[in-house]
Amino acid sequence: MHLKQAETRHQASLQGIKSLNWAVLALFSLGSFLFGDVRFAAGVMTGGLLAIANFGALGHTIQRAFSPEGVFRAKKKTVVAKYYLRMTAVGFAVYLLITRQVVHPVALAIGLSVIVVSITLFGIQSALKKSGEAV
Amino acid sequence: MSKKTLTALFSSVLVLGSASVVLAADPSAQAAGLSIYWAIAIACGFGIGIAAFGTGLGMGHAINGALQGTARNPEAGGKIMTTMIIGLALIESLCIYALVICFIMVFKIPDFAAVVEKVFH
Repeated sequence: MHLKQAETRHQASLQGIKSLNWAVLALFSLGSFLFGDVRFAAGVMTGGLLAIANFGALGHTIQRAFSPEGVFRAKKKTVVAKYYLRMTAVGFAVYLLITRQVVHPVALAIGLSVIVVSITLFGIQSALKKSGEAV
Repeated sequence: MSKKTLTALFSSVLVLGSASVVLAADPSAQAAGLSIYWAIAIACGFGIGIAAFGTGLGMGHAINGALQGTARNPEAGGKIMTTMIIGLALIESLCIYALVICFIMVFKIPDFAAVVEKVFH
């Protein structure tokens, strides 16, 4: 029972990060629309979407590979193949976006930072909550 | 010679070889003698190599710790996995940054895009 509750709580925290990703992407996109041109905003949005898709795929692969008790249940080759496929897809997408000059490269880097920013924000939020509970 | 040494040797040759291909295909760089472009080409190759090395090392440590923790305390498996996914995303983003910077830099080399087109078409 206790294990189930803990599992649900951690699933909820992962879901919280996923929601925060979209919020941060929306904020970044809005800021880039207001302070930059359309190409810059497109770069931020594309980078953000790419980062979110990459994070989602990573989470999905690992969650499918392990049982809630931490037992490895997937085929080793499948997990490795999925990992390389994901990295190749991200690399190729970044290559296309930069070489075709579809988006601004700096904006793309800002967009790719969406996950880092949201995880940092989530960490700060959790730390503040914990310190509030301790007091 | 061990497999790791061979891989490292092969990667180094590949990185240095790609730099010479870029130089050979760029007449303006050849005419200018030692230009900045060779440094860009080598920096990009080594940059992404070092980034990938660091990412691999970091991810290996993270997964090692997570699996050891889960093996010792299976009840905490879910918590450890969630934290590991978050950590892996953070580590991986560093390599993606390096890739973006390398792409930006490498396409500053004149005629590099033409070389890529020639290779792939």
